[in-house]
Amino acid sequence: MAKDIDISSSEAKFLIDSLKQGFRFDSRGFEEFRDVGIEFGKDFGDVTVTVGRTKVHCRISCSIAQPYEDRPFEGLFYISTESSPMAGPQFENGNNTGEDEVLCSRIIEKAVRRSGALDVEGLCIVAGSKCWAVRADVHFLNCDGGFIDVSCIAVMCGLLHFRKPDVTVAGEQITVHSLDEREPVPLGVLHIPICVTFSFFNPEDAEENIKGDLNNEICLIDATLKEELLRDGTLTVTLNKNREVVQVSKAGGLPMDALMLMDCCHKAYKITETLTDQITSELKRDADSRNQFAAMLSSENARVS
Amino acid sequence: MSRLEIYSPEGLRVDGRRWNELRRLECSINTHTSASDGSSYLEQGNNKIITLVNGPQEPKLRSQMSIQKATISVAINITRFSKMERSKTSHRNERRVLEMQTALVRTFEKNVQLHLYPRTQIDIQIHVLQQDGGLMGSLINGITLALIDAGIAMYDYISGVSVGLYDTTPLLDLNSVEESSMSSVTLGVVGKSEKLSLLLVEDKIPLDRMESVLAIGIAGSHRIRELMDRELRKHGRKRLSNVSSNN
Amino acid sequence: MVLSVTEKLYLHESLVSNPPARPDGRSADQFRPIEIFTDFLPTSNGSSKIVASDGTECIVSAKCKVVDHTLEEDLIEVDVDIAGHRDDSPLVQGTLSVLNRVLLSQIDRGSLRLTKKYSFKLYIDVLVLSSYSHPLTLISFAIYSALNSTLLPTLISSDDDLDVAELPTFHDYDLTKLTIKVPVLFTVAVCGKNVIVDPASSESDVANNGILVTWYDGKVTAPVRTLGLNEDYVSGITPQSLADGLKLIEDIAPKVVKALDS
Repeated sequence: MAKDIDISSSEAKFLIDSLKQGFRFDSRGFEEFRDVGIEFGKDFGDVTVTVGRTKVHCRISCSIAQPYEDRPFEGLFYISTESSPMAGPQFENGNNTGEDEVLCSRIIEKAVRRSGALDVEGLCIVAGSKCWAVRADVHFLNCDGGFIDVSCIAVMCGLLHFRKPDVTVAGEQITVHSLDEREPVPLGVLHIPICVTFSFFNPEDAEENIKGDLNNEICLIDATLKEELLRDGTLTVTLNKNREVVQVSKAGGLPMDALMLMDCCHKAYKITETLTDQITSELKRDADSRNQFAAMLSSENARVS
Repeated sequence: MSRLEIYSPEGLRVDGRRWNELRRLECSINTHTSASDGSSYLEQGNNKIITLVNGPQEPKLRSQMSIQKATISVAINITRFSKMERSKTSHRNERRVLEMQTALVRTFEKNVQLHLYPRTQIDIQIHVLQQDGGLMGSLINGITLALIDAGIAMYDYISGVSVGLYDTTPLLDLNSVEESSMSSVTLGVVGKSEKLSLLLVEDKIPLDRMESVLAIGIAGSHRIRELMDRELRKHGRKRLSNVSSNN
Repeated sequence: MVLSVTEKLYLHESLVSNPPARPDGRSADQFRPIEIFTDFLPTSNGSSKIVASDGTECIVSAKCKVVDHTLEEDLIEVDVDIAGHRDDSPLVQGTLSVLNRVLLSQIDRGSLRLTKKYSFKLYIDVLVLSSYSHPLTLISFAIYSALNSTLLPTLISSDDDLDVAELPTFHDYDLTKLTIKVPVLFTVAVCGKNVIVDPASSESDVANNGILVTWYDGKVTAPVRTLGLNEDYVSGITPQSLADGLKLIEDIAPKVVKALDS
């Protein structure tokens, strides 16, 4: 991702040599995802996700807008990814036309928006004239690799956590109820796509990679920034828990054997499962903490049925 | 309008092909000799693509120069008349096109022997005169041909094709009607190997079907490589006979 | 190709001599060979590709759309894309303005009329793949041949539809040829007292001035403009050169149009 960060050739060589011997700098295994920390803010739809030293903040907001003319029954959904020098010196302010920025935002867009993770028809208020416009603003706070994976988790957590104000419709007249007045309603999330990025390294020379049958390219999951800078190729697989491939992007880079790529997809599925479970349990914990008096107010009792 | 039958029970597609048939592929190289160092014209079904390669040449900006190897730049010009309906806006700065350009640069970076041409730049210019589905695959084929025509050292051919999944049947080399009604996968295969340089899936596909989709895609790409190879050899023989008859 | 000062001087001297000696041996009123292909894009109503001997290549597509001509101001829209030049560069903008001016002012709206309410609107897209000399003449030849090979759907509904709120309907597969008179543009280079047609890039580099002449319906019409072909040799234009230039076009234009028609 970064262009202006240079790694000294001795460090680069050391990293590649250790990879060849099966070691990573942070003592992880090759197929180990870093621990994911999900922190919900006080407001609905305010999430900070940390993976290792990478930190991404996502904020969901909504407003009432007019739907597109050709899609009167659908609400609007935007994702904006913003990188600033805060994340690392390699990012420029206000410049998101770099190759990597475009690829990153396109992949998130395809993974979440195009795959229909958010039920946009549920955002319709009055067909053709009023609908909710949901916005996801992703801010990169600190960069240590894996932006795509982390942003995708952040956006999905944000969408699952967000509540939009309730509305009542009477003809063309609509009333938006404030959060105190009525319980806000969650968004319709149809599935949870999880992105897993693989980084490929070529331990031999280019000829062996293209012509040879060794297929001993090194394949890492969830690379750190240093590994990202030195990798020869990358593959981002997006899956959901229903065993559906939502999106795969291997935009060039080191040619890889098709079977190895399939293998990557299967590995990614295992990670998808654990991450999805983690997200749902974190959400549940947050919901419980917001509603800590529920047990007291409940009329349920512990009688044996 | 009645709904089109994408894949009939008899096993025929909208344009009469079977599931594993490619579209007509015609290509020629050295078509724009004065405008470029290498050029190709490719028709894959109704896709019509002109590819021009200039270079290796001195980079226009010093900052783009690399001391170790050549740099590749790809510019895609999708003309406004390329689809049935003329587009109201120019496609040039669309994020989709930027993404395609980046993907193509990264695909060919690993396949061109860039270390042979340090301090130079290879400019690839593509004009899409007409598009009818599977554009990315056709662009890859066009670039491969033009690079070969320019005499730039490459490790092998890269051939591209798209495969769709209709219910449980994989369909090879989609046209635009098919592409808009099912999920598709684009592959870029290196030579006769089973190595993928490019793999793009943009819509949902069941994980367990991926393998069969990839298999037919690789077979289709090998066939395209063969067709391109045949055309190149034909062209080579023609030029060789011109040279020998002149002496 | 960049010429040295000495080469330019030699070239200029030979072009102003009487008769002008052109570097490729052409006479003053001779064109370079060109090749034209038409009707190769099935998704466009008309298309043409023109290749000049110096490698200048230009592709034109004509697409049509049914519009309400009481609401639509212009029935022709031109878009120019010259490879290697930005859309806001002077060359593209200049070419676009000349083409818009020529086509909108000269082409008769009536020839695109479909019914009392609707007309075809023509979208002409020009793509110049490579250009070595001033591309306007070639573009206009390409537009001429594209529009003359344009096929439009045949109308089967009634011509009088002022009171009916229905869109015109067309025959399923029958096509009608578009009959339209299209202007062509000529570039003439002025070198001293000589005027030469279709200047090549080396000739443009040393010409004293250029004249753009519009030929429409058998005669020279507006706009006639001067073109700055280079920066070093430009000088004013005399009435005599202008008259000579127009005379030259009047002599050769009918032959060129005949050749384009065949």
